[in-house]
Amino acid sequence: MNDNNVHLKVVTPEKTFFDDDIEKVIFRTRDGDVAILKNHAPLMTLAGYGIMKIFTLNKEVKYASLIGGMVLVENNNIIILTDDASWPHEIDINRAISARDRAKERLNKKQSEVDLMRANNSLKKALVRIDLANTGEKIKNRSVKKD
Amino acid sequence: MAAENMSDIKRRMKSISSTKQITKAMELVAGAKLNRAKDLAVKRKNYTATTIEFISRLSNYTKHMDNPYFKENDSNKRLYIILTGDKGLSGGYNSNIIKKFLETEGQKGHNKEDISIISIGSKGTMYFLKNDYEVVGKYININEDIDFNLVKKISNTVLNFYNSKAVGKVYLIYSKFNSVVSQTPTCHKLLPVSPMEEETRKKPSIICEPSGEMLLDYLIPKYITSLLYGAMIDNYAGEQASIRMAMNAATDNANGLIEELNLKYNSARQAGITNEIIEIISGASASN
Repeated sequence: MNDNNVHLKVVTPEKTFFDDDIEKVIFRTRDGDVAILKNHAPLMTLAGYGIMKIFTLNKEVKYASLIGGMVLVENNNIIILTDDASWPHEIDINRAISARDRAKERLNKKQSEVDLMRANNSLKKALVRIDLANTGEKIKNRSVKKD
Repeated sequence: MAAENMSDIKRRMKSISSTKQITKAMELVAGAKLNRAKDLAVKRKNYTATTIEFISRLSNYTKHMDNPYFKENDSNKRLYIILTGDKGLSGGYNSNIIKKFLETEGQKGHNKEDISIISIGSKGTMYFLKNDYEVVGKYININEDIDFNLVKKISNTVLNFYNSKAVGKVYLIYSKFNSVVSQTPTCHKLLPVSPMEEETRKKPSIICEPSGEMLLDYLIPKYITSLLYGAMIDNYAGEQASIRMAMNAATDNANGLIEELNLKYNSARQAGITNEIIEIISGASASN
């Protein structure tokens, strides 16, 4: 095992999404993006809605969506407990786009604060998913060009 | 007389074997459902375990005694979330859960005015309504395809009761699924959360962002939902296992009965033949 390794585990209600040694990970917290490398101080924080970048040991970068959650960093172990995480290929772009449009529509109506907050959240989720799906496309095109 | 006896036995054998077919089919169905529930439970296990670990970490790192989720409030009322099955034919399964409730409540005085119940499953609901308990929530026929959003809603209701101090303690009573042959009715105290004692040895301090309180506000609903969902899966698996066991016993029983009747039938047939022979012989010797 390389000395620069950190172990990352991402747990969702459905499954263990990711469980492996990595070089570093970048994800969004409620206050902005953070990168976690080896020997990070013990930390507990809340994840926001965003794209998570996982830098693997063989110098690959993996992208995944991270929809909220809670993060524990301790002894070079990162555990992310999240409601939802997915790889680019798992995202149904059409569904995400229609979710975005629906959320926008709801935001334009006059509604109670709770409803607005919910609509706002669904909009954010949809945007992250669309963003990720596009990132996935870009990476795919890049590798195709290389061949 | 013999002929009548024989057709009688034949009829009984027929009815028993058709009952056997039904119980056999029910056994198979319950077995399939049980396997599905077991798969679900395995998938879910990691998430629940991680949630519990997070809670125990947080309870150590934050000054948890000030948090309402860790401190008992003044209300005397106890809220029970009780999970039972929707279908009968499961042996003593549902009555064991209710017995567990009575036993737990028995130690606390069992004053019906201090009890609120959220009942999930029709068997329990019927019992509590009939016995004049205050049922503040009832959910029927939701066990087979558990809708996670509904579980979230239930746990929100529970948290609202707790946060508004309408209740002081929340218990979850369900049947813990140990294995296919063993389920234990269990009472789990959900709120206030008991701090995890075994983890109290000194640990380096941890940075909590934005704050421990906010982390708890995020985590507690997940924790309740997660435990409730896990318990519902356990309960469903247990119910199916019990049904399977009961039906298995019924099928075995039917097999035994059929065997017994078969013997009786054969001896009746034998007796009939013997009688006929005697009649023929005596008839023949009389005409000679």
